[in-house]
Amino acid sequence: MDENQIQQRIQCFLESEFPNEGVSLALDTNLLEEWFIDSLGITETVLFLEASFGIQLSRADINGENFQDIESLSALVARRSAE
Amino acid sequence: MPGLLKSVPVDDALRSAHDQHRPLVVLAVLGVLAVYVYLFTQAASSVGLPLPAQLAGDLGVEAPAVFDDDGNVDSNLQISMTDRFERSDDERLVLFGALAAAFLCAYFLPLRYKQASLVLWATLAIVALYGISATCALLVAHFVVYLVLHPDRRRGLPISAATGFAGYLAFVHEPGAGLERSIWIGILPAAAVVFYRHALLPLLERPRIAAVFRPMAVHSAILTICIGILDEARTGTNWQLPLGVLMFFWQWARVTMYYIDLRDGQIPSNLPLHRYLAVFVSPGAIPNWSWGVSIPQGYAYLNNNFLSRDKNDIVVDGLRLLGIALLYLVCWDWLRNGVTDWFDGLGIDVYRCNTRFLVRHFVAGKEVGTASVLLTTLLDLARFMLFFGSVMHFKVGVWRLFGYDVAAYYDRPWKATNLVALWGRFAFHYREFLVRAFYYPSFFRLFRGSPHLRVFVASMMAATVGNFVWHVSERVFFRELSIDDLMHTVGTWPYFILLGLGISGYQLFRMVRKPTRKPWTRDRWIVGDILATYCTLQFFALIHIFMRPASGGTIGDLFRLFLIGFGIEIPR
Repeated sequence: MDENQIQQRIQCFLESEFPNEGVSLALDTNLLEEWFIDSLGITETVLFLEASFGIQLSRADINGENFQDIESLSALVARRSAE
Repeated sequence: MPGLLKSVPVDDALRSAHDQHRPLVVLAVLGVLAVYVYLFTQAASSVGLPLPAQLAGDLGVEAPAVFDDDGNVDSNLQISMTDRFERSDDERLVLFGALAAAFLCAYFLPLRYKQASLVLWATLAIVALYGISATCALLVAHFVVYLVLHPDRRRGLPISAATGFAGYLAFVHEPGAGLERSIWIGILPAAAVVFYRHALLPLLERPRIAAVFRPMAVHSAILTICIGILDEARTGTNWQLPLGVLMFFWQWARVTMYYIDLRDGQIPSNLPLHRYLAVFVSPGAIPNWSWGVSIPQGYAYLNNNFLSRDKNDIVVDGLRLLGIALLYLVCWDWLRNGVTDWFDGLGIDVYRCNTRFLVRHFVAGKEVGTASVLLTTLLDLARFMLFFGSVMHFKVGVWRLFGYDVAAYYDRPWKATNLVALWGRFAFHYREFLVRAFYYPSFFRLFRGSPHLRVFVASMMAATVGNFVWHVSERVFFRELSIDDLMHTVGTWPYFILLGLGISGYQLFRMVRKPTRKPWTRDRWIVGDILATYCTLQFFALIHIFMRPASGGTIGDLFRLFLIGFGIEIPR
């Protein structure tokens, strides 16, 4: 799966699981500032990434750099998939 | 949690760009601190100004609950566990003086000296407030943790010598005459260097041993509780720890956060000592240091938020919080009295807005009604929120004065529409500690194949287990290591279970039913937000019945009282 496909799947997930009226979700939308409503959004995204891409995330992966936007999330997935 | 992650590393070039001076901002800070000095100390009388109570009288303001007997404003701002000054007003004066000096240094000094100056002023303030011995004991404890977490032969030797010398000042109370003292002063630093060089360093170079030593140093507070209580069970006497050691133990949660940052690779291994100390020994950590996880976490969060945007904007945001804190500090007692009198006038006893009085009344065999239970617990929560919010706003405000763009500890909890949001709004930094120290380790290790169970167990680990452990340590360190204090906290177990179930239950509910709008959006569903907020706050208020046990009462009594809040009466 290439990076574009990863980004599309993440975008679909975020749009369907966390519908957010008034904000259009782009690849560089700041998720922490503009998208997630509460803490469970992060947890559910972790569950989705692990189940969808067959990766295992660790506590250290949960940081502002990785969860900043769809691009950084897909880069995280790509890194973990390559390991 | 989104807020928790809002910190990314900032480099020194960007910090320098944010480090612009604005004289008006400096004047505003000194002005606000002067207002604090005027209201909460006796400085006014020293310079011939009328005290706040006298000034209020002259202006025709009637607010008797606001003022002390000595004419200034009664305050929750405290310097915990010291009796070096006759009056708490004088302790506060030392604090405000140190804050002003630290602010000026942090504001005007070049970037590389800012954090070191904060450590210096905090140390001087702690010396003035607690004495040399306590300060040195605190520093020794931190030096040891630093040496264990950041082993380095070149940097470690002078620090280990300093540890020996500070240990002499902290713990050798009867050093004897000149020669004997000189021997002590010579021997302890030398012994510390030899021990570090030939024992500790070689051990820390072995990964397996380091993996044991490091958590032992970080969790020495909890280990000491366990050993001390076991020893009390064996010998019948409880341990009395030096004040400086207790001060270090109070930072257990933050040392834990630091260690998590280190393990996550967010701290350079060659971090200089003064940058380690800047996390813990800062003027912002002094006021009410025994309250809550006394802000800002470990290294990464603080470092990422230090001058992360324009310095003056951060300082102005700090002033805003200091202003809100001032409002709460001055008004909370006045409000409480007004509300109590108002309900008394309506014929509803709200027990001075204090759940403890309600519980005592009920345990004594007297009747209470559902309205009284609901109102008393809710008003007690409101009282506590103002009380707690005032101090936490002050502490965060102070950190911001020094250029740390720290998130508010306390952010309008009356807008929380569920328990998860309430925790984030009521005790933001404490929640982060529980999430990072208890939620994540469980979430990333247990039940990976079952999302619901995974979330449920992780939530219970944070809200019940972690919360309970922290409250045990809070209770024990504030008093003394004793089985009685441990048993007191153990007796409050229903609070932790109910809170954990409430939070976990909401998390599972949210996994099944997704929200489609943000709370407090101005639409027709806002009525639901108001109702959800009331239910959240009322539940949180009611479970505090279990945190206020009365002597002679049983857990059964507390459950009966709790159920009366839901309109269910079970005969005694």
